[in-house]
Amino acid sequence: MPLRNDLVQMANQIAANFLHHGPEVAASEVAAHLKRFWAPPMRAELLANLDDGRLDPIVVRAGELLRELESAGSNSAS
Amino acid sequence: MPLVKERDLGTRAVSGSPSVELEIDGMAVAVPEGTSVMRAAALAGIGVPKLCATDSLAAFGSCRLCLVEIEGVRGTPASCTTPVAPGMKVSTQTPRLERLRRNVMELYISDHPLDCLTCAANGDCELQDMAGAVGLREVRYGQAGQSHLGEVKDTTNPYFAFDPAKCIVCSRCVRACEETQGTFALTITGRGFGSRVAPGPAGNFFDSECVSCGACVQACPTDALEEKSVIDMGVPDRSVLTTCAYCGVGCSFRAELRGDEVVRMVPSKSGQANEGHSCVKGRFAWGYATHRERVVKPMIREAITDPWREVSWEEAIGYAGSRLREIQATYGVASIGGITSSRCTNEEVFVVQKMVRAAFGNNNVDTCARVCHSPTGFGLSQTFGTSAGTQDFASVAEADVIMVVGANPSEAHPVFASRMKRRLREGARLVVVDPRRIDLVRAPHIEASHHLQLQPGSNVALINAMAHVVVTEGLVDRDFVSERCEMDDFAVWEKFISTDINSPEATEPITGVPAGEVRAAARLYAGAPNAAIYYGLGVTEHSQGSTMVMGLANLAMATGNIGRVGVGVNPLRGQNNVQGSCDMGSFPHEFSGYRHVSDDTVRHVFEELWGRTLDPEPGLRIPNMFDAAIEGTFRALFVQGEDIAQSDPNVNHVKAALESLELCIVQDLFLNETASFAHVFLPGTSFLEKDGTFTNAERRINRVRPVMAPRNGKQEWQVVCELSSAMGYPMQYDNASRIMDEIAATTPTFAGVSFRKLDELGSLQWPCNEAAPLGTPTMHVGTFVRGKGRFLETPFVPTEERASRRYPLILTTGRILTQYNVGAQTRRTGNVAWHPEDVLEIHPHDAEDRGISDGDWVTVTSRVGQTELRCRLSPRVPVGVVYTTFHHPVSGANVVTTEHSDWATNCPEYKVTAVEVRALRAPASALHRGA
Ligand code: SF4
Ligand code: SF4
Ligand code: SF4
Ligand code: FES
Repeated sequence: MPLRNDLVQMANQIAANFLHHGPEVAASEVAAHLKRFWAPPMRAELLANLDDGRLDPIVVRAGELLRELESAGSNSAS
Repeated sequence: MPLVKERDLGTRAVSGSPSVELEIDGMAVAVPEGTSVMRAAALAGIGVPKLCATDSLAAFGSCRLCLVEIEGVRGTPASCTTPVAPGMKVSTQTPRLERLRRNVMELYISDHPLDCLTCAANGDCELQDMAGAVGLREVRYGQAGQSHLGEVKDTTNPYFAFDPAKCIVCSRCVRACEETQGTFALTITGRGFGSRVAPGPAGNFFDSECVSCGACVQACPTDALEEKSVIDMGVPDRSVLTTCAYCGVGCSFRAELRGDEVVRMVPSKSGQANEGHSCVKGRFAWGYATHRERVVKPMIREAITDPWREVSWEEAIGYAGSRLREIQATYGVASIGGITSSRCTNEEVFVVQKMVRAAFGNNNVDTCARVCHSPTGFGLSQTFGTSAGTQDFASVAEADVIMVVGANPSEAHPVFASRMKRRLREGARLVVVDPRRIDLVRAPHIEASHHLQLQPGSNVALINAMAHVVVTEGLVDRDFVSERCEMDDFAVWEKFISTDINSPEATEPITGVPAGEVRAAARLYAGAPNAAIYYGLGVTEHSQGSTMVMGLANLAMATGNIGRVGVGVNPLRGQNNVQGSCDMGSFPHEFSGYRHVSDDTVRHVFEELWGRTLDPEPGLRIPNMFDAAIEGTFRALFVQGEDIAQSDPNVNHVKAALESLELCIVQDLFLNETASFAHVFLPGTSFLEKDGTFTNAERRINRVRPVMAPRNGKQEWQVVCELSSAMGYPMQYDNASRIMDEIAATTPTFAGVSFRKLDELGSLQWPCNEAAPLGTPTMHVGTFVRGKGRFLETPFVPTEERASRRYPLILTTGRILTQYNVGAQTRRTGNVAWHPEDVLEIHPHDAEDRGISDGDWVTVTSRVGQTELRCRLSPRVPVGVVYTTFHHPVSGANVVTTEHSDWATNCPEYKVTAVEVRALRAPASALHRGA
């Protein structure tokens, strides 16, 4: 199933608002934001579709970081 | 409770210590300097007769009834206009004074109808009382001569009547309209015997500038200005102190009743939010509570195409509970959720979020504040450390510069607007940031120094430009910043904001505001001893709503305008309990008191008390719920008192989502739009039946007391507890105060709050705990809640919703004074007289380009939908911008608003929708609208 439009739009918009930090910091800010505010099914759907093609590269990088965060089992994104 | 009449001490209170000692009728009295003799006497328990004086207004000295004798002073001065002096010896009752007063009263009465027994104000009339007080026994002048007795009543206002025959021309109404309300609708015309009260040149109240606030009716000592409900029903005989359920001002009222029927709502002088003032909604528009369309019996139906079937509470709750569990068994624990309402009490909201977290077993709870002030929560907690306005309302009286951003207080927060206008008339300067020329830009005796009429969607560019001026012109309060804020973050922000890209000149093409104006406004704000920001949904309901809130916070910190009276950053909350519903843990990622669900310590507090393991992950937000419903993963929704099918953006999408649900439970007063998609309808209670608390925009927790028994037979929180119990998670409270006890026990900022304390003190502003047992009027004094204030970079990211060749105009939305939100309440009251339909405001140039004339029907088309509205040509909106309200479902303003939302919180971007407007020669729907 392709990634839902709303998730693509929301994720890219978050990335656009962290862009000023530079790509690497922006990606980790986006990852932290998703961890803190997105429900797990939404995050899972995003992570399963990082190759969707419509995602901003910062979101793709954030997805990778988020995956690491999730596997570390931490809930305490700041 | 018997009828409580608030004492009238005759003239206004003066602050200060009681340093002036004097003697009145042989009694020693001490009062603050500047107090009138009349007030000093009243404080000593001595009532001096009076007619033109009342303690909400400045003394006027016209009726000459309050004369006193003062040792060593010639004549008989009026006690209302004579200030106390040390050592003064005053007599209020002497044969000479008695004679003089009787003469004055005799003149008044000779031109007044003598039908007290049949007068609506009988028993509630100061003229009658004073005639008694001065011992008037006869009137020597007959009523045969010239008089006002035959004059015609003005009954044009839906709620009150003006009977000139009963007017004593004391001018209290005129002064109330000026001083209390700030509208200046009334004047006294003519002179001497020919003088009379006139509602402006219009000649009647309805067509005048009057906004029906009721201040004049309240001030009138006779039956001349009287509530029609009193005329119809008689003078009330008992009263209950409670809180208005309309807007975030949270005015206190005495509900005055006869038996079980409300006769009138009278604003309470003891109410700390409103200090005796009110607006047309709280004062008069309460009739919806007993409207015949109210549903008071539970109902269920299998499918939304079936007719409703009235059932017992047991059946409705049993059905809802078992269906919720069945759906979870099929689709998973996370397939259901709930929405709390900002119209409900803190206690009602708290139990709904508890039901979701503990009984549903997930965090899929959100609140309608999602669609209005969620960016406030995000922005202020990131910068200051907590999600709330920084001041109390009274603080505005100390502000020297007031900046109103994306808010229209005269319409949406009228009682606060009156306070603000008072301060502006005293000389405070005003900056208005709004695409539309709102009332405040030029009101009687008020003129904004700067109206920054920006393009919708360019807020962040504008606030950055203002901050750029502050930083680059050396206007930063360096002492404040270095002492109170994180310096590393400040350094990063300072560098960012100083870049040319943020200068007023560089942002002018984006905002449309001349750079010189921005510079001047920034200098005015930064240079003021006290500068205060008040903002509304014009800040939050944007794709960068959260960023804009942070931008406002940055500006306030950079200029040192935080942490004392007269300054601050203040969200003007829309609905009555937006603040409270957010405080109560209605967001999917936060428990009460804004603590993240992933915080183990916090979660364990609730787990221990509630006896359930709680989900440490955030749940779905409202728009996420809709998207997941359409996707098929979210199957059941409990909606508490909110009409999401009308109030949320892109309603076609919302309706599709609701239609796809297997179960929708609506708890409300009326069968609203959302109820068309419901399977279970649980009748709710009106504010006149509720028992609990509301928290207003200044964090003030006010008691809502039941004025009458619930017409549906149950408090709403009881229904929720029963539903939770039916799902196998028993919830039980003896009364609403027990729920507040649980809130206090689990929420540090509420630790000191209880119904008992609220009853004792009237109200409390949170944080209220051991450190602040009497609450906190001003926040961030000395230190920020988060310790040091945090500057955050706020780069401007334009919204994706842009005007184009096909959709060249930008639609923005707002509110109107007489209507409230989706109008479910106000449309069922006399208020429709002022706003029978939503209209589209369009600039005359844009109208001319399209061949549209004033009053024409037009279509408004956006990328997602189309609706029809009647239009009004108005230079209040700039060229390229159109504006409407969303109070009537039939106009469907939200059919056209899109799903674009704030990047951080998903708060919808109501304020920016690209549209085209076209003349509609034959309005299809006008037929069924009876237009
Ligand atoms: S109701 Fe309010 S606005 Fe209208 S005349 Fe009276 S005081 Fe003025
Ligand atoms: S209408 Fe009432 S308040 Fe106004 S001047 Fe007449 S008596 Fe006084
Ligand atoms: S609607 Fe608002 S301003 Fe009007 S009476 Fe109610 S709380 Fe006060
Ligand atoms: S009450 Fe003092 S002059 Fe009227």
